[in-house]
Amino acid sequence: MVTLEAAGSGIALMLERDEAVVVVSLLDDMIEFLSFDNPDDAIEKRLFPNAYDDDAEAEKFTEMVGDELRSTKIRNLELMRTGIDHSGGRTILTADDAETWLRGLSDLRLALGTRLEVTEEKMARIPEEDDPEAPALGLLHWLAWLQEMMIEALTQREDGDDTTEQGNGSS
Amino acid sequence: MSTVAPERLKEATPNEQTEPDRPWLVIVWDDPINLMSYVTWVFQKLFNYPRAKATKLMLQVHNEGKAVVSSGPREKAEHDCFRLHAHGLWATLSKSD
Repeated sequence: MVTLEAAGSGIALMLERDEAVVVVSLLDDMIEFLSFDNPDDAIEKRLFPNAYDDDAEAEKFTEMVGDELRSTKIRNLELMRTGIDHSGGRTILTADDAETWLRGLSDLRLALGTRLEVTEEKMARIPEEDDPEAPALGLLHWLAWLQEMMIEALTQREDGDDTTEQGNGSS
Repeated sequence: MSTVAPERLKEATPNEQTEPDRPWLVIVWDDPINLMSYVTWVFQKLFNYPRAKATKLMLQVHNEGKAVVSSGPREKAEHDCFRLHAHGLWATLSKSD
């Protein structure tokens, strides 16, 4: 079972082998997917949404920032990928690494969720065992759990910093 | 300094630079996938909002379907949109009424 805990100045992420295999596969697929433009793909549309209602303005914005956005997203996933291997095990993350993981996990979840066409109702439902989408939904929830743990780890570090800097003004 | 004759004033068309600048609004839209805790964290991180304000905005997105999370000149709003997209949030910008 995946765990996340403070380790000195860093955060130790521990993945079991079967978890690592799945995550590595997902990361490799996602990095490959992002390496090409897929303008009609629903996942691409969700990861690179229109910033303007007006189509012409939206296109200008995408031309302006699209490449940088894409390469940022790929870099996040590549950092995650270098942190783990198929056999699982322990990786130490800095706070910056953890933030990168959060962004990468968000994109992985968006891709999976978009492919599954999830709604809020579907997210809340527990799938039947013979539901062919059950494994993918399970993975979506597992990634959410990992995200929650990362946020908590980062928040605890920040709160810890705040209490050691007393009298620094109100938050 | 010279004054402009009234006829000239009527002909002149306002342009973006002389029109008083209405701010651009950055709107985050609800989606069924992103976690509430993650959205809150993003608002804290990107805009330095205290947790209470970030949570309130997140709940507004969640309950009302959208929320204005920042505003300002167009370049700033576009930059905010870009950063929100980089964090997987669905954000758009529009000129305030």
